[in-house]
Amino acid sequence: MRRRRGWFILGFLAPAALLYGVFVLWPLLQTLSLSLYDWRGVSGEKSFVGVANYVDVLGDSAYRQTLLNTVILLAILLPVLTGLGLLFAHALEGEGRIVRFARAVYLAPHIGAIVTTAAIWRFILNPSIGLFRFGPENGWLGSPQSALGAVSLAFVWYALGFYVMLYGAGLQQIDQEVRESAKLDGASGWVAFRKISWPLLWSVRKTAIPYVVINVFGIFALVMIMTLGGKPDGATEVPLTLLYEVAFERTQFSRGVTMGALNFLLAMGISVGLMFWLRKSPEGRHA
Amino acid sequence: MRKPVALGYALVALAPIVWVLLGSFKSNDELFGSPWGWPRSFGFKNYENAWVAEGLGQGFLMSAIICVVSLLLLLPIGSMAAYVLGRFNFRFKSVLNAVFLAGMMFPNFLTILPLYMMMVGLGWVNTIHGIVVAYVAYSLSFTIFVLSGFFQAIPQELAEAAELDGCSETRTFLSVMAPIAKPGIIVVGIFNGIGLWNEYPLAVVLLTASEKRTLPLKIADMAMAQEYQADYGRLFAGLTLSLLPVLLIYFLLREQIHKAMLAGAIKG
Repeated sequence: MRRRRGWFILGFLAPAALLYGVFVLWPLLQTLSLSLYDWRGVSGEKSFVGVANYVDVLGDSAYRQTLLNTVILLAILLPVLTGLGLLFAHALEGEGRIVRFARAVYLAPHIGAIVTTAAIWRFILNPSIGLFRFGPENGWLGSPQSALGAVSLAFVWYALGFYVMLYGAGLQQIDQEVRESAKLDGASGWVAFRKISWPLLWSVRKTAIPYVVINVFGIFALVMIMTLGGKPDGATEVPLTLLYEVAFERTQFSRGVTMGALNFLLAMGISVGLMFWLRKSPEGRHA
Repeated sequence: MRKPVALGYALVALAPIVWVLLGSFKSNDELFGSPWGWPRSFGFKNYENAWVAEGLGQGFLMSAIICVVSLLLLLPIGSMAAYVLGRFNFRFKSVLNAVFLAGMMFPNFLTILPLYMMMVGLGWVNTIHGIVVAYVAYSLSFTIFVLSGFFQAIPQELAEAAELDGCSETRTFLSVMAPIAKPGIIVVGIFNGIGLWNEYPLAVVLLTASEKRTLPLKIADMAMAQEYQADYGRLFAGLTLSLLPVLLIYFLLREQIHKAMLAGAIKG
């Protein structure tokens, strides 16, 4: 009986484990290990070079520009997504026709493809057919001062619904009694928000913040399409679009995998760091 | 304060989509002349151009085939693994769980170079089975994570009763447990279907031949080449075509899709 169960478990796990192992795990491990080699691609020739690829990539000013752009995107998107997410989650609670309507449609941007978002905003910001035909000479996406801001605008439009949903689920978990009694005590609106929702939603924020970090490090299609992979002059270039360019247009494979490995290490490092930093609620620290 | 904020948010979320929908009926002159205006007439010329001349019809078909085949493989494979991980205790189970979970933590694109080399080696670049295998593999993490939760929630007694009645383990899964988990499997299927319908990074590398390109790739190509485009109306029509199926499914099955998204998001 026990032995039969063992075979059963093995048989049921095998297809998934095999596919996942070969096509996900193995390439991931290869990305990490090949970053330590000088590697020429398909021929399979490679020689160990230690951290030379990392020195090379980090010394490249184009790559450093992508890191700077990522930091700017994080500085914009972290407060906007976590702040507006909570604000709108609050607004979407309760009953009434308008609120129900808003609840029905707010996730629409997030259900469409990121490709669609990029295309839509590329049209909206287009200087000849777009909606905002004033502004910089080369268009909002064509000038270095506004392009990254325009990309983050599109990102917010696409991603915000997800964070609203996350906070909405958190709000529903806050004990109804807590909120009822707060109401009886005369705490409402802004006060209730500050004294109850904000501190009690600590656990949601703890999920949301690393999520933003991982998503921002994962930006690829948005920049590929909105600014054709980082134009103007790399002002909107992000690590993954540079990886694509380096690996598939310039066929510099060692650099490509090293950028992949760096992206993984940075995103993991930062989000694990943030989770560690956020592990205790502020209330917990006082108590 | 709540109502104006809610209304404002809803309008900002919807306005760009409505603008694209209206634009899809406009002529070039109208697009250049009155960006905020209402279309003069509602003809389908732009749709015809997008579907035939821009090859979106082909992309639509390709996306549909790839989506359906991927789901037909993913759902059984994922359910089987999720069932075992959700119901039984065995050695290395927690390790296995963690390894599957890790797949949800990093963007697929990080593995793209070694994956691409592997596909080149196998001769699977620009093939339907190549992209399908990649899609199934990269969707397993989410699928197994959410479905094992579903299987865990089913009372053990049901499976034990079936086994006492002489059902084999496989029969118990097929005739008792999987049917109970069916709502969950459907939700996960819809969610994965939307994700694969929209997928870009893997496809852009693994499907380079124009006759194999999926709808998102066609849309991306169109949007990126817009400067050289003499006819903008078809771009708006193409965007509408790519949005329509997913929005339709979303408005029909909103509650279930919310559940799947939340289940996937709160992974600690």
